[in-house]
Amino acid sequence: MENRVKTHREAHGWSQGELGRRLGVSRQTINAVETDKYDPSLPLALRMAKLFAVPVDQIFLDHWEPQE
Amino acid sequence: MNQVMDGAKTRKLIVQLVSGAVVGALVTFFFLNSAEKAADFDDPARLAAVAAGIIYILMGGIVAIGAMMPGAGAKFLNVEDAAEIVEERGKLGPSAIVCMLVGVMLLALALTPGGDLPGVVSREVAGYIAAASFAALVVVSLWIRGKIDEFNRSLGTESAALALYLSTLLFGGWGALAHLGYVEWIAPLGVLAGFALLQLAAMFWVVGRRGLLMPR
Repeated sequence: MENRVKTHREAHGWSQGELGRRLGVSRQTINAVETDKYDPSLPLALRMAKLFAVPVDQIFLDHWEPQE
Repeated sequence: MNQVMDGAKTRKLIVQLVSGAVVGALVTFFFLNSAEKAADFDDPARLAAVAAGIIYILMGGIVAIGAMMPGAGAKFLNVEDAAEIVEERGKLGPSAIVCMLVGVMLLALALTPGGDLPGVVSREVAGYIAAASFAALVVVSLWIRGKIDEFNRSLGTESAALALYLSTLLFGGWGALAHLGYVEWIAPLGVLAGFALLQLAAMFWVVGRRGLLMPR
């Protein structure tokens, strides 16, 4: 899933390791999310949104639209 | 700048692959040569168990060395820098122990008496080693569960599921053919070595598919 984790992380001036430490996950996990190799769980996505102080849909972009 | 980085990463990948293959081949060669008079390596099951055991021990050894010496480890483990190894030590150490325990268990079983050869260890000693390794394996595996995060847990679950599918396909198919009399059933040690090798293949497939084998 397309995401803006890197943009928000850099806007806060955090390294991948620093963000991982704040979220309680490894640097490898942050790297995997940023490079689209892993979609985080809902709790981790919610924690990211809380940490970046933005709604989840500003971090994770879903282009799906409901059909009529 | 990016080209310089890409060149360095490619060199690191090549060094990792070539050195892993060379060390693995040399260790297997010397191991088989030094034990050939005592253990029956004409038995494909023993040979598979030895190969799997050496792969697991080498993998565990390399990770253990990297975890103990982060500066050097950053050169051959797939991490960004030495600091990442320090951050991940709590996970790398137990993972290395698990790999080595699987390897020791397979080697001990492969070196028991067979055919006309006396073996390197008696069946009794191999049994104790295997039982102790298995018990330690369970304890360390349970201990690791609390140390890994959701991404690693997801990789573990995915690779375990794939290994189950592959094992079902291989041993299920082989079992059906053996039941019908088309092939001979595999020796028990071959089944054990097969499980270990399929688990390894599944793990590499899963982490490779996520792009995690590419140098960072």
